[in-house]
Amino acid sequence: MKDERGATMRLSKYVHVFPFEGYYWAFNELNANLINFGYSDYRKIMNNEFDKLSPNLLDLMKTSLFLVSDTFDEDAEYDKNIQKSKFSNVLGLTIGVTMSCNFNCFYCFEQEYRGTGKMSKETADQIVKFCLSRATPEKMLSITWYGGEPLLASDIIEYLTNKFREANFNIVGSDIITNGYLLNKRNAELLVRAGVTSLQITIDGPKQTHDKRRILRNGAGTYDVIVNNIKENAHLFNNIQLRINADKEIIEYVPELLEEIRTTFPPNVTPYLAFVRTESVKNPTFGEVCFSDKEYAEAYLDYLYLGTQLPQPYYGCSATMENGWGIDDEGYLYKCWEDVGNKKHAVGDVWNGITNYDLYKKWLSYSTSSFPNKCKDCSVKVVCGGGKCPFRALFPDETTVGVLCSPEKWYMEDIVKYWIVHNVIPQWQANSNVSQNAATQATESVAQENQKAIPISIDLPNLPEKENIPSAQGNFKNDQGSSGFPDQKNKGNSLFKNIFSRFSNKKEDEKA
Amino acid sequence: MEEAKSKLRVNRYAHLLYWEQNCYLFHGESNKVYKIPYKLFKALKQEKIDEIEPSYIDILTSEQILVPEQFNEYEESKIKFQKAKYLDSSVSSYSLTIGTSMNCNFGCFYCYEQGVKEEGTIAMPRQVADQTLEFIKRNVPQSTPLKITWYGGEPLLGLDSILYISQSLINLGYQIEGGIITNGYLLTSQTAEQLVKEANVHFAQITIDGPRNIHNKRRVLKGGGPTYDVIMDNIKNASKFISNISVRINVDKSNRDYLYDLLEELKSMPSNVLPSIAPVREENSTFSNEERKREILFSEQEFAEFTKEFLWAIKRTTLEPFFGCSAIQENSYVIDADGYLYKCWNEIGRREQSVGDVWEGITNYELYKKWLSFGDSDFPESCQSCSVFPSCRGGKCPYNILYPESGDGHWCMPEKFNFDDLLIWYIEREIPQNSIINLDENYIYQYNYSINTNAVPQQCQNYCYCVSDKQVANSVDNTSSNCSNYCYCISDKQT
Amino acid sequence: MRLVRYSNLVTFEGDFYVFNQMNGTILQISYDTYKALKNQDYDSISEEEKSFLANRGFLVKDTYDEKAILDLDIQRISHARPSTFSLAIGPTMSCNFNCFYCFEQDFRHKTPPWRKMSKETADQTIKFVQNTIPVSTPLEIIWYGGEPLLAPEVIEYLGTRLQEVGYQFKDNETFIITNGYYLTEKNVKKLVDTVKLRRAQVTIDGPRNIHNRRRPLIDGTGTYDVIMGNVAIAAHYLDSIVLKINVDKTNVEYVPDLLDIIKNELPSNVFPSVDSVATETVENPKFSSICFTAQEYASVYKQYFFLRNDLPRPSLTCSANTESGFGIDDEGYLYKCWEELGKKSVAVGNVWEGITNYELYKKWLTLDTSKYPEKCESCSILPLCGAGHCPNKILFPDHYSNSIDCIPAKWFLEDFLKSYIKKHRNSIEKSITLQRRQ
Repeated sequence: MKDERGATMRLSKYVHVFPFEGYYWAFNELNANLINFGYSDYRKIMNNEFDKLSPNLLDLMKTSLFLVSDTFDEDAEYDKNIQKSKFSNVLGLTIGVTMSCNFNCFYCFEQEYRGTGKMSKETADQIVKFCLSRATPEKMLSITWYGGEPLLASDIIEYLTNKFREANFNIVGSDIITNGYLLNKRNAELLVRAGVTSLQITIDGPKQTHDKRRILRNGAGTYDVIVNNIKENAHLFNNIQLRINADKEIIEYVPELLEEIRTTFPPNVTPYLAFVRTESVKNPTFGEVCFSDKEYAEAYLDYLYLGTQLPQPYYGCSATMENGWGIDDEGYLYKCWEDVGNKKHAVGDVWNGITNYDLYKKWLSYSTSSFPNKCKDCSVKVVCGGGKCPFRALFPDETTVGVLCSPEKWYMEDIVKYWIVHNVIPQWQANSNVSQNAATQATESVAQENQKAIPISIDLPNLPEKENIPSAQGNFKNDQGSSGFPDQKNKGNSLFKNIFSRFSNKKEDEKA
Repeated sequence: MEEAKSKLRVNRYAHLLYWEQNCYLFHGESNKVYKIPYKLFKALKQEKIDEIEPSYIDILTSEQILVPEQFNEYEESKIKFQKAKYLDSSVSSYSLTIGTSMNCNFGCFYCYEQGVKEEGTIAMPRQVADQTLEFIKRNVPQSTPLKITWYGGEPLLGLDSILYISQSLINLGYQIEGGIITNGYLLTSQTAEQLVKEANVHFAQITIDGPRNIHNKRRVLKGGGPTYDVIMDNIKNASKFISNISVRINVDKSNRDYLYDLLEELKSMPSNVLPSIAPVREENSTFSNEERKREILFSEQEFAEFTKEFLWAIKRTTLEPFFGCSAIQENSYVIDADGYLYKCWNEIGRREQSVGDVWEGITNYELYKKWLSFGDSDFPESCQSCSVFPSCRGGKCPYNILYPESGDGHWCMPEKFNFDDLLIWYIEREIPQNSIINLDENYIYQYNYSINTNAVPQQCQNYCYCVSDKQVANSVDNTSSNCSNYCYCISDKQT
Repeated sequence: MRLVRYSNLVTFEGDFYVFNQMNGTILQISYDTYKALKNQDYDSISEEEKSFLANRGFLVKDTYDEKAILDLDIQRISHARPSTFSLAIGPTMSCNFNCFYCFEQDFRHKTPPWRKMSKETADQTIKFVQNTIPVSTPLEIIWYGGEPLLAPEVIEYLGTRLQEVGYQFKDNETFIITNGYYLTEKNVKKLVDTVKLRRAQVTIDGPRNIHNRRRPLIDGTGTYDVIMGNVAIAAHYLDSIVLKINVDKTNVEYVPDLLDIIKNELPSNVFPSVDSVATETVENPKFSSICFTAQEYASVYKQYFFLRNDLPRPSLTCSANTESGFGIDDEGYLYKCWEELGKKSVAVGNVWEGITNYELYKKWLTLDTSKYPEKCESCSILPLCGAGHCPNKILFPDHYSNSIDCIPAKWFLEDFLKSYIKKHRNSIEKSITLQRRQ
């Protein structure tokens, strides 16, 4: 018989502890939970004197996996969640209705297989049949219109959407990635009829930089037309994300662009800063303008204010999901959206279904064992997930430098601190009491004198409850950039310190 | 791409049956039964895809009865198997099997817990019970329904723990649903009533191995002594309280001839007492002599033959696709009387197979992962080309596959040998008759109509798709307050 | 006391039954009774139960002689005062078809003009009937041949005359066995009105191509479409039509196709019935390679058992073995066995002179179990089979080249019983102990 064991417990591997604004904070990567406590608790935790913590705090830390038993395997826990998120009841499609494009951007990764044709009606019909054979009983479907430039085949978008509706699919999400040049009134209305609710349009800086990079085939600029299109039609949609591919050349113009965006467009048009990193351009000659990992991390920090989330565990993307598919204009099937059009990487086609089961299963095998050696002992493994790109983790030989590290590797604390400033402290201010409990599910304790255990747990939505909607990788998620506007008017670099110093001043004022 | 039109073939898991002038198709993977016209039956049976009427092709492909040439049924089935682990609705409940005593008052020769129970804990100590409660509190949200199966050894030797744990959980706000696996000897009226009232036990499995003299030779008290009469009495009394009593009958060649005698006795029991026959399997080398073993135990073929006569009393033989037991799912554990955690019932009490304990949770991740990741490369080779894989899955028992040396390895299920008989039974007795899909011309017409652009009705049916409400409105008048006037007419295909 | 010899104990889904071949009855019994009967432990059965079982013929005295009882049964049938008189009348021995397996090939007239019964013969036939059969005895008339519908006017004449002189038809109906080619609406209507034709048997040997190869006109033309067309319409005038399907190894695989066609195209009072092309109906040994052996046919029969799904019944004899049955051919010759119609060498007489060959005639009435072939001696289903229940084969083995075929029940009796039990579970009588338990 076993005796009552004392806790042979330890702090979980992926918990980051740091002081900030008078408290100590602990952030758990495994579930994006955040708590804080006072100095004496902090000392106890650091000395492994967990039994001396207040029962509430102890309980909270155990339940939220801040404290785990010695033999706990964090990576196994992470892997378990990765595995779970591979399955969902929603069929996710990224459909390249045409591989041709009216633009000629130098960094385009589809240059080699840009085509001229567009999807035929027969292929579209067959896509529906393919989906019918793979649909779950609820027939939920999520579509990202893609290409090439999808609006070159807007009639196919309309046609295919109707076919899906006739086949009684429940389209739970529909969005489009477009260069925006052809987003005139007619096409905008077509998209509305087709149920498209969000768009991603790229603007590479203010007019002078954009018009040098995102050009028509004849070299002409496109800025004015795009801006006009957006101005006229943005109100028809839920939101438009303006993707900005920032490399070292245009990064200095970004604040100007952001200001323009804010003043020119309605509030449902939000910027999404995507940093051009080594090898998101496949041509190595562009290496000089690309951000290296560390450079990217720093730039990321500067533009943190565009983002609003705590770092989330990375579980993969639609390429690793059982029912996430990319389809090109000829009906070939892919797992990764970046592969669409590159027939060498096709896993099958909509007539024959999966033909390359080995490749398909390789995508589904994504787990911590797919991560390269350098990730083995990394403290931000869970939020980085092998570079937030399963392609690079699973097929490193098809890249030049393999997996790219995420900003959290250097700036995990700063990122969390930033979030605290914007989401916790304002709440404190809003309530008159100095020490406050943010409403949580786990705690009902009132802070005691020296042990100001003020847990602020923000629970990750339980994966089984919420549908995993396969998203087009990297687009509307926060992995390589940030989106959304804060209230403050802020531009330029190194805003970080500014914010905090301003804030600290304010607090002192109050005390006085 | 047009020229790469795929060749189609019949899905390996689609079975055809001609029975009493009806032609049936059973899809083992999707668990659907169709009635099909004879012409289609012939064409499918002879694999003459070209002779299938074109109007049928669409629905046959979308139901995956016809699949592209390169479709790999086995791989797809394994992926579905894993998917079901995570998306299956049973995952939303938590299941615990708690052994409240590792000892037992019986001494049956075929017990697979031999060796364990001799030295085992007689009754779960209070500390372990308390820690089990802690474990539950930590891992199970109160809103999640909790299914508890009381187990052992003989669980009623630890009746106190059953009641204590159950009451504590109820007081903590949990919804528990209890079941118990017991030899029945200690299941008095009073105990049964307690179990129902205090532990919400609605199911009991009690084993009787034959009529009185046969049973009393097999299921004896430790140290000898008959048990039949006491158990039968207890069952009669307990059935007044416990809503569902399953009388398990472990058959092998030595008691099969007496089966009817027992079944006749059971006929006089109330209707909530039902027989459930299961074969005695070799577990943990109860037999030292191979020959002796074959004399007594069924082989898988012999059992398949046996099921023909007793199909009506054997619960587990079904053609429903099998998606794994709770051992391979996340939210489920077996806990022994000392607080050790296991994934599988068969492992209880064997410390070297435990995955952890209720103090520290999972400690042996290797083992734990082995269970949770079951379902890809674990299946035996022979499953790859087998047409009854979806229901059999290498014998419906991951334990036998992961630990073949502990018993007689995995068994092919009766459907491998007797498929047609089982399918007839399945169609006639198991499935609701209104679930059979009649693929007649009418059905095909409706189906094609609904997915074919050319079949647009001349008259507008007022089916408007309201872009604001994101749904189909039956009438143009039915607009919402924030309507942006974007109605899309499905009939006219325009705004 | 003991269980009667020709009986079967069957279990089905936990219930127990006993079947008596001697009288074709089935009873549900308790497990105790089942065990007792199985182990011959009669003392353990209650008196009440024993007398119940004895009443139903399941329990008999130890000295009971089953074979003797069967013989008595046969005797009774042979010599009983006839309650009906059966006449198989061939208004013509001609036939417009040319089926390879026809057993009447040697004495069938194949080319037009068709040879039909003359008016004189017809009148004489009526006189013969009046002399032989009391007017009060119902007549069971089967229109036979050759192909009877080649001479519908003869049928009409005979049938009407018989009614005019006072005879009634058994069950108020007559029955016809035809190839169906001339089963036209006109003919059917006429015969329904005049001779109370109610039921017909028509043969179809498979879907169009198969049938047309096997059952063509004499010149080789196919007959399928005409027959199917006729049957579809005739079924509206008749009570029922049995579609006989003669199967051998070359057409058995097409039976499901044909059944499907019948189900979809023909009215519901058309009943398919599967039968075998038995080796001896094809006297040419060339065909024996395509005919099923008895055991092979048994499997086919089992497959299509659901078409009839009736309880096996004792079948010991036929009308040839009685004093109340004759076949009459177009020339007025009398026969005992229908299959011999036209084979004048085995006629027992004629309608002018009555019985002329008394030896032969008497021999027909001498059937009993001692005349069965040796293999039947120890057969467990003797009453059901009756050595093929064909007195012709038993009494005159030299008439046929092949031995007697065992019936499918020899191999599958238990399956047939179970199939019957499955369908009729609730209506099977229970033994007294079971009744008490309800």
